[in-house]
Amino acid sequence: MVEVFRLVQRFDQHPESLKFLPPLDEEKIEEESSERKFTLDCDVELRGLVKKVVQFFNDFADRNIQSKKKQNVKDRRRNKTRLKQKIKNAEKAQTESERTSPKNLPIVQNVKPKPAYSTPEQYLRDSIRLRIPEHQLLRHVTHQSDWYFKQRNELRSQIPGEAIYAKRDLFKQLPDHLVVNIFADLPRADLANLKLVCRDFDWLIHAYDVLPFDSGWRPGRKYAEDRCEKCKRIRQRGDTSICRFHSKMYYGDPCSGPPTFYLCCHKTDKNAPGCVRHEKHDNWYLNPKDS
Amino acid sequence: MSGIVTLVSQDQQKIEVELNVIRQSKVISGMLQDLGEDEDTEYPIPNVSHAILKKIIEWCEQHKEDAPVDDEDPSYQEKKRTAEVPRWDAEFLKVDQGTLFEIILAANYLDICRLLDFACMTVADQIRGKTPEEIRK
Repeated sequence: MVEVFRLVQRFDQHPESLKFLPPLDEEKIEEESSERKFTLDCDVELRGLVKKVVQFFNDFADRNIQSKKKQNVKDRRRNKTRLKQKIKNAEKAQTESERTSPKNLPIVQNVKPKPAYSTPEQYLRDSIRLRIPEHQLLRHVTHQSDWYFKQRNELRSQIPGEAIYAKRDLFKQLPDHLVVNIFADLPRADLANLKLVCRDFDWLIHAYDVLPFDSGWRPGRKYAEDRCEKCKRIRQRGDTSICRFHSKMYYGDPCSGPPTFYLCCHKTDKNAPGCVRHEKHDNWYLNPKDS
Repeated sequence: MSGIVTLVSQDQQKIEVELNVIRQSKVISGMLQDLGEDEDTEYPIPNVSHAILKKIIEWCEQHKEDAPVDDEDPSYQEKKRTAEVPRWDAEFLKVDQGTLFEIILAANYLDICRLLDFACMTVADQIRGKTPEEIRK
C-alpha cells in the first residue's frame, strides 16, 4: 500500500516522467512473495479436497453394506410369509377336496356333457373327423393335406345346412381377373361400398386399380401426376372418392402436353362448388378446339 | 361330315352338339382345328359339369348366328360399357347364384366372351345399389 501511495504521489507531481522510471526492485520482491503464498494456499486446498473425497467414498461404501444387510433381512421375511401362505392354501385345498369327494356327493346317473353348438347341423359339421389310413400316414401326410380337405368337404357337402356356408365362398371360386371384370361394370358409389365389404375386395380394387366408369379421374400414367386445380390432390390407386371439386370431366391433351385440368360442371349458378369466374376453371370455359 | 361333335363333361357324360353352334367357344373351335373335325373323336371338357355344359350349349344355340367377337378390340370394349344385357340373355341368366358363378367359370374356361360379359354384368346388377351388409349376405 505504501508503494502504491508513493507511485500515486509521483504521478501527481510528474505525470509525464512516469513512463521513463525504472522498475522498482521492491516490486519484484513482493511479486515473488505473493507467488509463494499462492502455491501454499493451493496445496492446502488440494489436501482438503482429497480428504473430502476419501471421506465421501468411505461413507458411500458403508451405506451400501448397510442397505444390502437390510435387503437380506427383508428377503428372509418375505420367504417366511410365502411359505406360511403356501401351507395355508394346501390345507384349504385338502379340506375342500374332502368336502367334494365322491363319498359325500349324491350319485347322479346318465349325466351327458352339454354340446357347445346351438344347432344340430353345426354340431354335425364340426364333429366330422376323418380317419387317415396307415399307408398315407407312412408317407408323412398330415391332416392339413389336400386329400384330407377334399374328403372332408365332400362329407360336409352332404349336410343340408352346409349350402349356406358354401354360398359365402362364391367369389372365392372366381379368379381375380373375373372379379375385377365384374367390379369394372359398377359405378363409383357401389365400388366404395364394395371396399367396405371385406379386405379381399378392398385389396382387389386397390391392386388392380379398378376405375369406375363414372369417375371424374382420368385413367393412365400420363395423368397420374396431374392434380386437381382446387384441392391439389393427386389420384390414388383404386380411388373411389367423391370430391365435389373434381367430380367432373377432365380436360387433357396428351399431344400438346400440359396444362391439363378438370373441366367445369357447367352449372348456371356462379357459386357452384369449385367454379371460379375469371380463371380456367370457369363456368364459361370452352375447349380451344371447339371454339 | 354331318357337322356334329361329341363333348364329354366333367362327370363323363356325352353331349352331341352341332359344329356351327359350338364355334362360339374359342377354345373348342381351336381344338377342332388342331385335332380335326372327326365324328368319332370325343372332346373332353374336364372343368365343366354336365348341367352347366347343357346350359352353355343352349346359349350357344340361341347365338349361333352372331358374328365372332374379338375381346381385345377397343371398339368392343367401348360398346360393352354402354350396352345392356339383352332380354333373352337376362331371362337365361335368371338362375341361382351358384349356377351363375359356375356359368361364369365355364364361359371363362371355354372362352365365350359375350356370355362371360353378360354373366358378369348380371352379377354387377345384383351388387348395384346394395349396402356393404347386404352384399355380404
